[in-house]
Amino acid sequence: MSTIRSRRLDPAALAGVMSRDVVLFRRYWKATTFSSVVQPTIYLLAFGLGFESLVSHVGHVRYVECVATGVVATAVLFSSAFPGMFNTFIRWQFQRTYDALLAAPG
Amino acid sequence: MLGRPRHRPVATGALGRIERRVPGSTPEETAAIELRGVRKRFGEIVAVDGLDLVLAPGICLGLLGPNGAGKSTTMRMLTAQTLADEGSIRVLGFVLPAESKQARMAMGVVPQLDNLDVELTCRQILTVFARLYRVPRAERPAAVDRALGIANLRPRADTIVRELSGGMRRRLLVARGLIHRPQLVLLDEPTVGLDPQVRQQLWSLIDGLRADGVTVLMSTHYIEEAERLADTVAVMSAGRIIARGTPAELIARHAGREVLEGVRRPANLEDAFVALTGEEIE
Repeated sequence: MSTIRSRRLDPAALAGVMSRDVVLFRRYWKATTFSSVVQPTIYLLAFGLGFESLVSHVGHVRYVECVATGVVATAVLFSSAFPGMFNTFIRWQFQRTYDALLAAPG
Repeated sequence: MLGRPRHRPVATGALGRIERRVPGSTPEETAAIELRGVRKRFGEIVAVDGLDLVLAPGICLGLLGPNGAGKSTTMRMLTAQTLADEGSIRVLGFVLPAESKQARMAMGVVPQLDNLDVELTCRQILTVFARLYRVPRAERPAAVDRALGIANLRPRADTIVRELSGGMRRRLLVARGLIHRPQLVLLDEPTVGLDPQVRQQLWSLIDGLRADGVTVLMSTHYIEEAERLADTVAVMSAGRIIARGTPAELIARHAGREVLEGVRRPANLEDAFVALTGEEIE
């Protein structure tokens, strides 16, 4: 009987899963990029520039700079966290994608 | 149909690190599947209760049983997606769960529930799985094309899965399981919920596998499916195999030659199943 050696973390398996994600990203990058950019832009215009006439400074920082920093931070947080959570949950519970991947060598 | 020799080496792909098992001389080493005293509990429920099953290479075994008999759990244990609480499992000479990756490399799995990526096209799905199954890069386009041909999906190769009919999706699931030319195919209720026409198409596909000498383990609760496709039928009830033999043997042993049902008619596998389990089946 031949000897068997296999690594737990297999580059081929990672490449396989990544290739799937790349295909999905290519399909959806326009929509996700659009929503990730438009929403913070609207927030910045509405709450940043819109309220700037009412609030000039927060402490010693200009109001619009304060809001812009927060908007960028929340945009990064939500645009990474929500797809990660929703997509993972849907693919796990409803589409059973991970079940299919686990039946492959991985 | 698939055009390949009966006992083919395990496809190692580009990695070349996972070496094939050479068939041995003992029954355990030559068996495609061997389960000994396998038990699986889910809380208070015993899904598989001391299961013993040996399947020789090149055989199509139909695992027949009512819902809840433990068929799907057995299937999942053979891919190490579910781990047995007791007993030993060998698949193609690999001991599970320690060597499950190597075993999965040489087997194809067609699940009961559709788990296709609905946002991908048929070709994209098959390409991703060709990669996961370590089909060498140069061979991937041909492997994908071959799989599309097996499933008769070449005209729909670039269609998104969401837009396929139920039958096409089933065929794609089978094609996905065959992308790497496995030695062993696990079919978990392959035709459940399908209309008769699609069921016939899938049966033809499974016939092709049998003709090529691929070992097939097929769970089903359709009597006619087991009768039509399986060389050997194992009747499973309450997590155990309670009878095993060819359909003709099971009928002769457990149902007799004739059954009185208004008029006398020849006994069939369903009669044997009812006699064995006391349960009606579809």
